[in-house]
Amino acid sequence: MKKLDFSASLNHLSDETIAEAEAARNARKKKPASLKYAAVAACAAIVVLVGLGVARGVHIERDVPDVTTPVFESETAAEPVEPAASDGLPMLRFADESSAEGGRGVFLKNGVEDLLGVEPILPSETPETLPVYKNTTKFYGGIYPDSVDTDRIKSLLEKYAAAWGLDISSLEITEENPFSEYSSDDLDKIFSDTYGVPVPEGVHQPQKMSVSADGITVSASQYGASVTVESAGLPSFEDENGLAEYVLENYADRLLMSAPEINIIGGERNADGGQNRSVSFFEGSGDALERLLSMEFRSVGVYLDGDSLTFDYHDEKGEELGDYPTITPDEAAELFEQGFYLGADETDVRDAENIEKIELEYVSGSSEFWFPCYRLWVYDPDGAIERVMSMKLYNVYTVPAIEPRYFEESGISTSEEVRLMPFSAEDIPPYQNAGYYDGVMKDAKPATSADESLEELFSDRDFNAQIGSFYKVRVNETLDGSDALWLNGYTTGAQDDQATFYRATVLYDYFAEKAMHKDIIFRMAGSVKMQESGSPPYTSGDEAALLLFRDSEVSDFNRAFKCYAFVYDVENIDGGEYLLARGQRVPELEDSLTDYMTDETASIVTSSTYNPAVYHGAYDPEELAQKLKEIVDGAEKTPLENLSEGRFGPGVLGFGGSFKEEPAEVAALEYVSEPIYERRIPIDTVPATGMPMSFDEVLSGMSGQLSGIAYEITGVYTREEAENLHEDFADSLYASRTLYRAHAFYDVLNDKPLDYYFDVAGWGTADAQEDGWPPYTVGDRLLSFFRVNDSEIKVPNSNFEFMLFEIDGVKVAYHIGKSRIRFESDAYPNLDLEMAESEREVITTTKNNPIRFTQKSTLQSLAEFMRDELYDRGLFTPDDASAESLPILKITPAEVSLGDEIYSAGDVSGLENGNPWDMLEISEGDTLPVYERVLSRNFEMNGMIENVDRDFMREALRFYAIGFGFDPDEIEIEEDRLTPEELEKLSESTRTELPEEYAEPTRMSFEKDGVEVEIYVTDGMFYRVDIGIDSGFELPEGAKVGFYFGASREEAENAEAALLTEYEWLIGNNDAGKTAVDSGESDRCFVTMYHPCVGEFIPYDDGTLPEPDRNDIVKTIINFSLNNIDFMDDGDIFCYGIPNAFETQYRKVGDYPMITPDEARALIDEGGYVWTAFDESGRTAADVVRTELVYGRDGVPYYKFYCPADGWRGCVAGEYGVYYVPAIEQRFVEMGE
Amino acid sequence: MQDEMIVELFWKRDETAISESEGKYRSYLSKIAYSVLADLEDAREIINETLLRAWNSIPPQRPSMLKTYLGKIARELSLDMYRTKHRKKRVASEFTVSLDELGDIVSEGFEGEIDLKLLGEAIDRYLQTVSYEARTAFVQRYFFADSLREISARQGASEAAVKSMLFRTRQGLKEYLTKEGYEI
Repeated sequence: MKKLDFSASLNHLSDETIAEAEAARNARKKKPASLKYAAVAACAAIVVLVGLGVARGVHIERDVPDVTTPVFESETAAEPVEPAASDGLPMLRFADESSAEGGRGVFLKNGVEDLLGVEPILPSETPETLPVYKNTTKFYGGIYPDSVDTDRIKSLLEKYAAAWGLDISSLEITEENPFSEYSSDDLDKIFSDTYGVPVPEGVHQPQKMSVSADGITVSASQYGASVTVESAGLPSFEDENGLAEYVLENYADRLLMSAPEINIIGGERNADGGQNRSVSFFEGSGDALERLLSMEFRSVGVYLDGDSLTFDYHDEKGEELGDYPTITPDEAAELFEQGFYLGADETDVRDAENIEKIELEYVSGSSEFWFPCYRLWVYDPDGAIERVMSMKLYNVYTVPAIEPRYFEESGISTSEEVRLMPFSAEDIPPYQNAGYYDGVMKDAKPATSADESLEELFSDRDFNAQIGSFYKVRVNETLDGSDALWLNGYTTGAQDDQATFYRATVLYDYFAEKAMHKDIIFRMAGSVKMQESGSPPYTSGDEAALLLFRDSEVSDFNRAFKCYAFVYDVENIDGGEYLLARGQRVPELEDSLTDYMTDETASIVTSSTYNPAVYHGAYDPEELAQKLKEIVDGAEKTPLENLSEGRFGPGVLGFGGSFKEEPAEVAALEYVSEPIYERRIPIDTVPATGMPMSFDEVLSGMSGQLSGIAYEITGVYTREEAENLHEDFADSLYASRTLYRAHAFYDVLNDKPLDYYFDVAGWGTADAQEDGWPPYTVGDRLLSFFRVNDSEIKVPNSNFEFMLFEIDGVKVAYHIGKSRIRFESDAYPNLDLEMAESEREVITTTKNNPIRFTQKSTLQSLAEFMRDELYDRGLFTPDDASAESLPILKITPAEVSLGDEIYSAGDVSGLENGNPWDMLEISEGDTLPVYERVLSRNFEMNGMIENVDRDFMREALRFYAIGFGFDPDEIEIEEDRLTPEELEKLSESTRTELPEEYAEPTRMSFEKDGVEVEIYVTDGMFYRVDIGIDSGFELPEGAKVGFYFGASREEAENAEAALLTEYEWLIGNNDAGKTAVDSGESDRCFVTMYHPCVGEFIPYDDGTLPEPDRNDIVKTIINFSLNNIDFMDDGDIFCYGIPNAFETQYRKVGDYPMITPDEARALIDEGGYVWTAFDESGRTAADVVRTELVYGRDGVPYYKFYCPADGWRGCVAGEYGVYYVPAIEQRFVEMGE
Repeated sequence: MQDEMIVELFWKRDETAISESEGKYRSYLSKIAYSVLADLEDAREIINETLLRAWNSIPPQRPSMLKTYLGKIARELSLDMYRTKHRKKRVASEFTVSLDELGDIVSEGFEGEIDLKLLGEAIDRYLQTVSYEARTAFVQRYFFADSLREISARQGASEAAVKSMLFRTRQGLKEYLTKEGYEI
């Protein structure tokens, strides 16, 4: 079974299982208390509020109510509460229960005016502190008490029965337990499945007790009681007010309040537009707070059911924890926008502008803590409901009304300080946020790390005066380039490459030790050029600690002190928060701190692959902040009043440059969906007219021949690689270009498919990137026009560069706007596709540099257009003759190295050896790619092997080391290298001045734990790896491979699956592998593993395989022939081959016209085959019994014809000889000896 | 908007059901698709396809958990696309990594017919026998393709602990499925 199918079966997990895991995903990650705000914010998704809103209707104490605070009986809490670190107030948390109602949708017909209910304290009048209570009943998952206080139930029963004139001592008490009917297995399932907890003890205890007499039933639970009066002889009521008045007139004493106040609550609408209203009473005497507490915790709801009346008394038991500092409604709204609210709502519609009403109330019910909160009524502006149901939709959110710092994440005790521990570089978690510049930057230069003394750093008194604080910020986005330019007051080419602006949220003030939630825009190093020097470009989601200039109270705009002298990435490692020093080194500061990183430096890739962050220390935030504060406080400062006026508020320094306008506030800058660095590129114009150059004007200046090639980028070279490959590149091209490896797939001008690789010097240096032009990356498809006689590097004509996409099955070419020409559809009507504004740019490798398009057409119409235009101007000559320019291939039998000339394979006519050549449909005009080996031998230099890629060899060994489970840094690679003395001696003996390269190894190996791996260059000028495996793996019974001890086809077939499972990785990580039993000898079968491009694909759901593509078939033939590894058994497993090096080994010569198998077979009789001893066999074309197409080691395709060999030189029946005939037209072939 | 209302809109053939679903679950669906495909464009395509499929299946379906319903569709479509893409080249996604871990449960050599629905239900039954942590970690890893880092952060455990727990869960699952008569 395929792993993918197994994975697909998980789609049939129950909804509940998936929802449970999903809910757990939304419970934010657990962080230690030291994270302060971050931990609080994490609470936002965790929920609660089973009882929220329930508190709006119920009951109170005795005849003579004592509603002066404390409302609750002062009892010891069931469990001690952890004190907060600062002011001794206990920390609070929410129950980890995920079904709460954050963002609950509510219908209102007339908006918030529909809402009913008394508000004892208006949000605008929220006191500076409010009491918080601990629920003394412990709940599992917020749903069920873990034990039931039956004494309390009985006490409440007695209390409320007495209020209604009943004496329970003379009545039969009925006990109720809703779980009594469940078996213990059922109970176990209910609790363990749903809540992941064992069955609470309380389940087995009575939940309610009740008595009845004289038409009155009193029922008590441990949270209160309800009293139902049957046949109450009620009149009819017009509305809830009528009922309330009636209750006051007839049952006031039963409410157990001195001054009961009516509270009609509700207002929400149901689907039919009806309004929910109910009657409640609370104690009207006392101050505002007492009234609020009474309403929340001691109310009485009254309900009508026919002629019976029910009084619902709310009477819970809690412990007062103290008065907690509150926040304002505005702050609550801000927190709400930050996502800090109770409940697990998934929607992102959290715009404070849509808050239409805020109420102050209490979280109550089964929540562990009862605290004040703001209830936010947030209008959903979408309007869908209004259209469908003629009602407005509101989402209700609840934000705690006390300062967030008093909350911790559920289940995590803040009393336990996380002890910071030393760690090594490898403990730093991998970077998670999406990178912007991955893969396309030019080389990284060493980070600027010059030491600087504190005295030097704090030498500017003006600067010192402005240091605001040491903040923890979270980057939200990189600012739009145009905004950045505007903010910076830049002009093109001036200072605009020195800084980047980020929109960020300040999360924490390390100096003041308090959480914050403020959006700022800050500037710091991070432009592309600075990035190249190792400075950090941050990206969305990154968190950093920065010494910033501006106090957050002063300005929304900020900048980092000294750019990156005090820059630290915030990282959580094993539960502890560390600040990883990333900026310039400050030895004096570092020496005074405890460095938790055991390695001297750690390098991790953050937003840029090519510019990893280099950390040189890891510090405790508190310790670092304390030291920094001492330094800042001690620094000499210019008095603030002496500072000249800045651009963004009082103070001295703006962001530099001359400002065109002064931004008022952060909100004045529009968010952009994707940040960019875009800079407008001036279009070159014709001086005489001032107009952009036209297509004609551009072409009129061109000469020579052009080719139009559609290609896909398959790799991006580093500068070093590019320079090693092509001297030209180092000399002239690097200044403006990046070297890409590309796969050509379509000749646009000749309208024929292509299939070869080449190097193209395309756009993409950092400079170009900064100009707004994209560095391409792997997978991008482009159409470029090249000079036919370009050197080995093709350089696209920048005027005609197109990006290719397939849209609804149509190949579309977008003209990239770098062009200096006016390329308009009016002038060239065959480029006729209209382009929507949304299509004008596309984000490819970097969000910061979208590609801009100016023209859109189908590839077909563009091809026709360019073909005609270039032909008319003599810039393009149609194909035909072009094949003539292909070089003649010199075939040297010894270099073909196709294997034995005699095969002993039994009946080969139906032999299945994995070669998919028979899938290839061959038609006239078809071509096959021909390659040549990269490696060569220089006989003038005593046979020195040239072009050996030793880095490749070392990397290959590391790859194999990893595959076998070794640490690649721990293997010892042996390299056969000549010593200088040996080289000198050889030079003398050969009378040739051998270069130093001659001494470099062509053979490397390692041996570890029973595994021997050797990679070397063979005499045939190709790389090969030999691997001996003497441990860990054994073939299953009945399986066998190889020459040494013989193996039948059946035995080899038995080995295939085991080998594939164990060693599939050997063929690289590009694709699944395929094995085939090779029939070198019928009794010595071995297994070949190679990378299949056809035949073994993952099938569609219906089991069918995709249609094979011709190129894929050819590639598979190549892999089968040249890019594989064979498995033998010489007692241990032994394999050899070189499965991952085709592109290292070969470079393409061209696509050569191929011949058919029949044409090739006919050539046998004409001697048109590669010479082997078998040509003396006298076998002719008529003797051929089997044909294959294979590639020789020389990179040329051959037809392989099998003929029976019996009778020739002692061969017996079942043995076959082979002829190899080049599969390309003979006119391109020159047979050598 | 509440899920019930959205489902109601689907039933009323009101196209706002699609925009409501998209607005509410775009990021959720996007993460599912992206985890499998590691390609934002593909993920967008999957979201659109998911909503279309939901439109075509509700009614007659009336999912009680719309979110999970949509998530399953998105995942199914993502797997289909993964199959197609994987033919061409390895998809470098977290899903691919998590898929490799399943190698100790399944044998790629076995090619018998297995009813995936029944298998999924059997796996579900097994998951009910393991701890809450193990169950959620398993589903998060192999259904949602969450990274080990994400899971360990949520559970407040080390990556090694989560890895070990997943390994034990897989081994247990393998045993369970074998006992149930599955040869995979």
